[in-house]
Amino acid sequence: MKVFIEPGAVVCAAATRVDLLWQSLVDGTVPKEPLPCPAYDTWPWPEVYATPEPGALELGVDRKVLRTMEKQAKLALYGACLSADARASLQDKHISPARRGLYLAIPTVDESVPPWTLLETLHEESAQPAQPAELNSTEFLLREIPAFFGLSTLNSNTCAHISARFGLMGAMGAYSPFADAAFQALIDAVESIRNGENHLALVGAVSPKINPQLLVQYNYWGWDQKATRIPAEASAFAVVGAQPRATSVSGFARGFIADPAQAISQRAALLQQALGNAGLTVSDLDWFIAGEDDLVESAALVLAGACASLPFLFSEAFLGYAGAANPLLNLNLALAGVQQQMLLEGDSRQPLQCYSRSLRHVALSAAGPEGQYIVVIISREEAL
Amino acid sequence: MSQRVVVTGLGVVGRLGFHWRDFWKALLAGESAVVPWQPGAISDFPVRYAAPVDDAAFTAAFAGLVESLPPMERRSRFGAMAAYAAMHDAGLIDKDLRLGVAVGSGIPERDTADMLLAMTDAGPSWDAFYARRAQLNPALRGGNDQLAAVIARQFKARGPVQNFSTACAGAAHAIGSSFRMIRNGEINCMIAGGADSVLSPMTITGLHLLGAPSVNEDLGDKLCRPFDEARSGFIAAEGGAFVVLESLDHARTRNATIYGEVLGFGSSMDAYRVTAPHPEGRGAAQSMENALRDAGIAPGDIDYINAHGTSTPLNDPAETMAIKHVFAAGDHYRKLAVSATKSQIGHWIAAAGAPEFIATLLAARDGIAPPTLNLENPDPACDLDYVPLQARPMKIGAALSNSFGFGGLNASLIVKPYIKEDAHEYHG
Repeated sequence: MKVFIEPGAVVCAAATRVDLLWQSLVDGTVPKEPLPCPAYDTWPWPEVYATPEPGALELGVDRKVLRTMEKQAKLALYGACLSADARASLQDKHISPARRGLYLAIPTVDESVPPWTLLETLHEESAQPAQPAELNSTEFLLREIPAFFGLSTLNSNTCAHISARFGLMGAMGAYSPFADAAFQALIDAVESIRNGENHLALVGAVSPKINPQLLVQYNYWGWDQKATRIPAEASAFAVVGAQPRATSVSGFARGFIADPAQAISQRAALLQQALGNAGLTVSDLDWFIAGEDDLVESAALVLAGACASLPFLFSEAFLGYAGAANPLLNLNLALAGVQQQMLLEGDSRQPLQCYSRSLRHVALSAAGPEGQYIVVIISREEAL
Repeated sequence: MSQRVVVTGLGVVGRLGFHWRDFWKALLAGESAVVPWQPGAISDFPVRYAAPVDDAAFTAAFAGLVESLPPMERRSRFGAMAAYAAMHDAGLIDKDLRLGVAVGSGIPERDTADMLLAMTDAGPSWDAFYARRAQLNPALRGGNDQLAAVIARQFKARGPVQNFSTACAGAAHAIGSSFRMIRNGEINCMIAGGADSVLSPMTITGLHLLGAPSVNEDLGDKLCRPFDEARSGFIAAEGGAFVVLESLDHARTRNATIYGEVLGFGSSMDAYRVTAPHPEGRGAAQSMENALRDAGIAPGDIDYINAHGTSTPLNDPAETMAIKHVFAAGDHYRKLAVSATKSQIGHWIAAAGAPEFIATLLAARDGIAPPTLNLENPDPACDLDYVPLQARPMKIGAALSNSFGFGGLNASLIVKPYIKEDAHEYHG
């Protein structure tokens, strides 16, 4: 059974519409902001791709509800709101709420916990320096921990907010924390349509908020040594369903690559598996959008037999890295490209180019730092 | 072609034991994991009971293994050992196979010590925090998929590796997703389950401020009482549990011991409130209906339900209403046995679905429903047969396990005893 896909919304530093994002990329005007938090002394980027935090008005929720949400939940809900505005299918009264699903990729909430203000209070009240025992007192904990801490720190509440707002009652899944999670969400959403559980599903992903603990994570993974991996905040969405549309999800493959020495060969194998799953070969591909490490991805493509002229986009080099949201930003670019028969080409070594090209089959990859690797193929429907 | 999916390995690490046989024996004997407890070094915290893992017993049970783990959160150590136990039980240690991993994990453990890394004589400082970042909780430094990755590396997984964040439905989602991948032919063998702990001062305070754990001091260690009139909240617990799932063909080829068969998985959302389940169990009912449809069986085929049964004022009547709705035909809900394993082991939060799935599977295999402890005065709004106080031998043709997460994220799994000659085909 064929499962079709439509673009949803994108919310990022450049734009809240994919056409505007595309234009920003072409113009080289994706805006950066000063890093919104303190950094360690070897932190490489004074400016990052921060995205404004949506407020109650944009989200259509009561201000009290905002107290239960971290920035990432707000970015995700905002993306879902814009997707609902853009995609009439999400409001289609003919589809029962019980058959409208939700599949989200969400990072853990990496806000400082306990909150920084609590540390300051502790410092003011206690003998110096403060000891864990002082923080671990019942009186202090009950007085200083925010009443809704149990809600705002629970990343999956993002799903609850979106399902409540749009009456989504269908099959669901939520995955975390890195880029691979976005394509886990997409694939399981596609499978939920194939299984008949959902008639349509909203698929979304959101980046972590740029905050001091994210910077620690960057240092842990060595991302602060990768020139392209400038932190970005974003959310991005797509809609999958059984109703015929211009593009379908034609294949996928997912696996785990424990040994970095085998990254090229195993990525090549997974690409071939995804193509085989779609009934295609590598020569059928018109565009490859890499989610991770463009040099390794290029080598994997060569090993898989791709021709050297296959257009290749590594958007991270131009948009920064929005964690779990990155693959769905790429997916929206791919869908826009297929619709316009235009593509973007460029990576960490080549500047971005935009040009017309007949596009039918596009492969996209996503990877997690632990070794997860996923390839998804989308295809334009000839008959439509 | 759809594959039949069977369970061939079980691993449980919790207060009631470190081998699934001990866990199951304790459940059937009506034992309780709930003990007097306080978070950290605090002695006057209002939440006075929990079901913590006995650290010394855990270390002794996995001596020689637990020391080889990389620096991990407490909950992930339980999960890693439970996964090892399940793989060992399945006879798959050191076997070369294309394995996938699916884990339900909660939010990273919030330890006050993490942020105190920022403290200096002059007050909190990010410079100090960064200078000491190597001491930060590994799941905060790396990511909360650390457990999934550690399991994947340990068993040289090459298949999909998933990390679910669906609150208290996480482990059930992990098992359900694994079931689907095998049934659809994407892979032949998955290890799936979850691990969690909410017993740090910071996390338990967050839950307490929401009114989730029971603070009733009148009932002593009997305060976890799902469906009882005197219930007043859940009992926080911790642990890890994993199962090995295989296609039937794969299991048969290697002559694996089969504990039971997975028939269906369903999920849903309440679309109601972040803080409360739908009062009529709308999403819960949808989840069970989706699982039944997926399994291709009728509601009347279910004999036993392992309820989410949290012992909270809101969940238990809502789940009761949902069961009545789904099993209304022929008043089948009157014939069902429904029990809440949380009455014995407490609430394992993101991991909860895994030990409860194992209990459901073994109930079907052995033809005995584990009890609901402390159910002495049923709430009039909770009027099903909850197997009070004592386990009950009964024929179980098919059984259902519910896991309902905070914010209305629901999952249900259906199992049946494995019968060799059975020609069950998927009709979903």
